[in-house]
Amino acid sequence: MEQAGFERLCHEHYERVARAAFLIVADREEALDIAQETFARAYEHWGQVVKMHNQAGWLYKVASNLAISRVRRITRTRHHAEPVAIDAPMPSDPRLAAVLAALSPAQRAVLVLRFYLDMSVDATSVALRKRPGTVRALTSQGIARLRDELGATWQEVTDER
Amino acid sequence: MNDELKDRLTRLAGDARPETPDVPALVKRGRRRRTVLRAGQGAAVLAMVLAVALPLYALRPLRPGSPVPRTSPTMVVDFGAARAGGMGAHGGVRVSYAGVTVIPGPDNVAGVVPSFSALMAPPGTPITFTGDSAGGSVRFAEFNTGAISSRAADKVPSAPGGYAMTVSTGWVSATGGITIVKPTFSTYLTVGSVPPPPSLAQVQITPASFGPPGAQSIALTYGGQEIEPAALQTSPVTAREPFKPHLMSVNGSVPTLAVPVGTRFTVSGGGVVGGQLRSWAGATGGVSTPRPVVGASFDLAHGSLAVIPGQYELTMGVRALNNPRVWVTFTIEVVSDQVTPFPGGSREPLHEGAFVGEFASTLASIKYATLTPHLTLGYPYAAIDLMMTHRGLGMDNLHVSGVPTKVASFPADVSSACVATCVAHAPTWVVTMAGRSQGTAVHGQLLVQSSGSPSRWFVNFFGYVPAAP
Repeated sequence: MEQAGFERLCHEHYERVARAAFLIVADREEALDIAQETFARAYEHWGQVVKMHNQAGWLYKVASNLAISRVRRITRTRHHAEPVAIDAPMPSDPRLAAVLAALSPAQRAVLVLRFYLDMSVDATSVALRKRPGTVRALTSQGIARLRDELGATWQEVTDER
Repeated sequence: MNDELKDRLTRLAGDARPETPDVPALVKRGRRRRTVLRAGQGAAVLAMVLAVALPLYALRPLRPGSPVPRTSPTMVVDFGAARAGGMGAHGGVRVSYAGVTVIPGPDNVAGVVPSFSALMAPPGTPITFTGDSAGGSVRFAEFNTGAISSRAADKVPSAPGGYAMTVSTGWVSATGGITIVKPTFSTYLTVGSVPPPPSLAQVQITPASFGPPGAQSIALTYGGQEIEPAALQTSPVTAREPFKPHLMSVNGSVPTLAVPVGTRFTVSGGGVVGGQLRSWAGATGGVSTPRPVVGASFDLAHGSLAVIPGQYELTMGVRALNNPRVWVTFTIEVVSDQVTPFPGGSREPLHEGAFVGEFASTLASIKYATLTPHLTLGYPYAAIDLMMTHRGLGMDNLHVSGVPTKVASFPADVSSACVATCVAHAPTWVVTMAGRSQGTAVHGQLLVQSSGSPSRWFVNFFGYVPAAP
C-alpha cells in the first residue's frame, strides 16, 4: 500500500522534479541526485506526505530548497577549488543557460517555480519560505536580467501573474 | 512572453534527461533515512530523560539512619584482642569491607597486616577500628610528606590524596595508608613494626661446664624456650679468628631461627660481648652491614636492616677473661606476615592488572639501586608521578627510562619521602635511584600513579647499597 502510493508519486513527478532541479543547479548529476533525495525524503515522511492535498507542491518545495543549497555550496567550493570541467555537454539553449547561471540561486529558483512550474507568487513564497513581496522582487530582478541579456523579444514578459 | 519563457525553460530542462526512477532504490534510501531519524529521536528523548533524571538521582536523600550511601559500607579494621606479654601474639588484624574479610589476619603474630589490595571505598567511607584497643590512639598523617596530624578516628579524609594512619593499641602498632583517588578509591593498610615485648630472644653466655678456666658457652632462648642443644651443635662454629680447640665449650650455631619483625635480642652473662648483625643478600651473598653490638643488648626493630623480612646472620663474639675471642653465628630468619617476602622487595598491586613484572634485581651488591618495574599503563605517554618513601638512602637523583628527574635531596637514615613527576614515553620503564649514602640499607616504597589513569601502584623495595670500594 505504502510502496504502491509512493511508486505512483514517483512516476508522476520524478521527471519534472529532476528537470526543475536541473534548471536551478545547471548540473545534470546534481539535479538527479536532488530528485532522488527529494523522493527519499518523501518516503521518509510518507505518513505525512500521503495526507497532503498538494503532494507535488511539497516535492517542488523540497527539491527547490535542496537545489538552492546545492548551488550555494557549489559556488562556495568553486571559489577554492578547480573550475568546472570544460567538457560538459553544450546546453540546448546556451544563452538562457548563461543568463540563468548569472542569476542568484534564489532568483533562479523563483523563475523556475513561477515560469516553469507555473506556481503562483503565494505558492512560490511558501515553497521558498520567502515573503510574497520578496518573491515579487526576485522575479522582477530575474526578468530584468533576462531582458537585458536576451533582448527586446523579452520586453513583453511580465513578472506579474 | 510567458509562454516563450516557459518553452525555453522546458527545452533547457530537457537537458536533464531524467531516467526512469528507481523506486526500490528510493524506497531503500528513504527507509534508511527513516531509521536514522528514529534513532536520533530516540537518542534525543533518552538524553532529555537522563538530563532530568540524573540530577534528581544525585539529589536524592539518603535513607534515614544511613549516613553513607548504600554503596559505601563501613570498612572495619579489627585488631582483635591485644594481650600483653607473650611472644608478640597480640591478636590478628582483620580488615573487612562490605561484610567481606579482605585479609584473614593471623591470630598469633603481631604486626602482621600486609597491604591489601582490591579494596575500593568511595570518599567518606567510615573506617571503624574495633577490638581491644584500650588506651590506643588513631592518627592520620600525610602519607607522602610525613607530616603527622592528629585527627579523630571517625573522621576519614574524603579529599583525594594519600593518607597514612598510625594505630596504637597496646602492644600493637600499625601504620598504614588510606589512599583516596578519584574516581576510584583504593585503600590499603600495612602494619609496619610492632614494638615487641622485651627479651623475646635471649642469648645467654654462661660459664662453660668444661674447658679451660674462663671459657664461656652460649645458649639462645627465644620466646621463653631454649633452643635445642642438638640444634646448637648441628652446624659448625663460624670462627672468625684462628680456631682455638680449647674453646670448644662454645658450641654451634642455630640453623634458622624464625623471629618476627622487632624481635629484641638481649645478651646476658659473663664476659665481654660484641657482635655483628649481618644480612644475607640472597644469591649474591656476602654483603653485610656490620652492626656493632653496643653493650649487651640490641634488637632487630631498630637495626638498619632487620625491619625488613629476610635472613640475617647474628654473629656473637665472646671474649672471656684470659681467653681469646670466639665467634658464634646464628642464622636468623626475620619473618613477617608478608605473604611472599621474596628478595628484592614485594609488590602489591592495588588494581588488578595494573602491575606486571617484577624487580629485575635486588638492590644488594650494586652501586645504584635499580628498580625495573614493568608497568603496563595503557597510557604510553602519560605523566607519571613517582612518590617514594624510603629510609636509609640519600636520594640524589632519580631516572625514569633514562630521563633525569630532579628530586629533592634527602638525608640518609631518615624516613623521607620524595615526589617526582616524569613522563614515560613507553609503557615499560626503569626507575633508577642513585644513592649517595653508600653502605647503608635501603627500603621504602615506590608509588606510581599515572595522571591518565586513576590506578596507582606501589612497590615495596629493600636492599643494600654497598660501600664504595
